[in-house]
Amino acid sequence: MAGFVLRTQNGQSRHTRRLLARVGTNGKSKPYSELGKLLDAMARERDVRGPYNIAHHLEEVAGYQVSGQGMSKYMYGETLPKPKFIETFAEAFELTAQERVELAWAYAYGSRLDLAHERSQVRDSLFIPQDL
Amino acid sequence: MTQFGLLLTELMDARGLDVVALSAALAQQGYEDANEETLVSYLLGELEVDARLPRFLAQALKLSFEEKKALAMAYTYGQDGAGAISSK
Repeated sequence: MAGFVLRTQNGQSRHTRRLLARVGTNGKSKPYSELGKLLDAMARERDVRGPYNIAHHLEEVAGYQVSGQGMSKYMYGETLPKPKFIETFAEAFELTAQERVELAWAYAYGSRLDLAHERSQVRDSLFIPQDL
Repeated sequence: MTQFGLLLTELMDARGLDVVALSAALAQQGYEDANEETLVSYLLGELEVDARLPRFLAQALKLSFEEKKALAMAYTYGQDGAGAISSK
């Protein structure tokens, strides 16, 4: 994606957060799983939209073969991809370190990483006592 | 041993648990599929880790936020080709 993307303190771009808020379904009633929403948002941020295009991108960039239908099943949570898929996705879409963590969390626990908790941990680790 | 195996071993050691105790702790959380043999296979990367395991491990080992994050990373990116044999 061309252009400059503002990133928040936790590393997630404002664009990703907007996308996460508004995407995650195919326009029908059935929503993507948490993992699917994240895959969708991360791919969209890089101008790759929809399961079939994601599958195509993975094959083109990384030589990883997954059908559009298979990709769709991953995104709706009907099947769970292998760890190799997640690793390939991270490499093919050149995810940042923070995005890799977010993706790993969603993959392992099926929920979104608590970014507020993450921020407070960073704040705590940066705490410098006043009397030093 | 895989990165996942190394991390899990570290987490178990820190709590004074061996695979027998971990298996029992997982069973207490309602996860009955991890006998000692299976857990050792996961640690060694002989079996691909069951997708439900990270959640149960987080509960059974009472992992902190940072430990949960490390476990997620090791589970996702640190199985080093494990899964020639899929457990599920």
